[in-house]
Amino acid sequence: MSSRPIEQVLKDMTGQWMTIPGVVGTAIGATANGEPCIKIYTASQPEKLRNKVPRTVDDYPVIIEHTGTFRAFTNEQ
Amino acid sequence: MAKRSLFWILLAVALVCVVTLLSGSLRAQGKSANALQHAKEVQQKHTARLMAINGVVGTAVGLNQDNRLVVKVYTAAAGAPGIAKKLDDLPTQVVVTGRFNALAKGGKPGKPGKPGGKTNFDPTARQPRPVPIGVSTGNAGECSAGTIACRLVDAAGSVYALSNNHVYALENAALLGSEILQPGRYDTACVYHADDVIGTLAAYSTIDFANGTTNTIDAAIALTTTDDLDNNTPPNGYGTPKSSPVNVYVNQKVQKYGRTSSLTKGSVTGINATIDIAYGSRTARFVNQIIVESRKPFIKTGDSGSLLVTDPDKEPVGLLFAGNGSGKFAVANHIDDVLTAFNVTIDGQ
Repeated sequence: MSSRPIEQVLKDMTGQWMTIPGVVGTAIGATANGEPCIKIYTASQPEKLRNKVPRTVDDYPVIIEHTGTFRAFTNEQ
Repeated sequence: MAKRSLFWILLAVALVCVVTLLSGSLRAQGKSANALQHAKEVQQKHTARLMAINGVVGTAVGLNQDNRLVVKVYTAAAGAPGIAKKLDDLPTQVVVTGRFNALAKGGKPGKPGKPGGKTNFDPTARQPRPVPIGVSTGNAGECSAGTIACRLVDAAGSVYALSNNHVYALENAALLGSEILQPGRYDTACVYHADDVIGTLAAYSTIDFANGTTNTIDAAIALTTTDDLDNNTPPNGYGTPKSSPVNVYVNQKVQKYGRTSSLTKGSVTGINATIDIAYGSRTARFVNQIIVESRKPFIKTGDSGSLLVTDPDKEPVGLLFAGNGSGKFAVANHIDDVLTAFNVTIDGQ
């Protein structure tokens, strides 16, 4: 059973993870089974991050998703 | 009290339906009625304790993805603490549903148009006044185009158009009082037309690009009038958003109407998100954001500023401003944060 709420886990870990090259974001999400999880969004291939972040933190699964970079979405010329 | 009673009645009816459907499903799969009865007993035995946990809104017997009997625990948000992985000999499955509402607010949901704008309506074109929300807009100082999120009002009765800072305030560079156009100049071959003015920049929340700083909103408002701005989407959209925002939760069904991709639908898959957003060569970090995903692109260039509302109830949850390269991941500010920043409310239904 998790000792910290997932919001606290995310807050505690995000600063560290966001310094890893390729990581562009983190969030609370849900696994395919509907369980709460932590998501790490990356601009690089997920396997490159797999050994840099744990698979779980306090029993919460950590899922790496390849999103690429995020950008503001205005049309500009 | 009546609402609470109604909630329990609806929950009971829902559970009966689930069990009835499940019985048929189990029979079809050759699973014994005894197993289902046992699962129901386990669920009933633990439900009172589960329901006492903050954030748990319901329980049920169901099947997981492996077709195994489980006790489903419905929660208002991800991360409800203290839910055991097994109850007696049955696994639990936490399903983030948000809170069940006894009744939807207001009348029936509007019938949405075809996603992707398959009607003849063109949100990039100049619209007759008052213009609908969800169409092209921009600051006269730049050849660009974003989207009008919605119409706002303040306590004094002044009326505003909402969009992003990077649409209306040009990433902090625009002057207050500068002209806001419909359509944005990107959609007029960069030509400025004085009669395209629908308002003037009234306020914006500064985007901080410095290292070590964080942002919560990318938002700006333009002073306008009800003669210039209406409060409903074009006919192929979802209609008029509700005035009152609702809380966001994982797996919430959402939709938006925007200048480029018109009506699109998706699901919230991330909350409390921290995301680095590229603005040209600069990057700004945003915290407490909403992530929306869709199998098809949910957001495209020019959709910045679209209002994120629930599907089908049209309750505002976010202000969209960014996305990834495919547009299948979109990022939105919490609409509550936006409304609080400008001390305004949504002038909706």
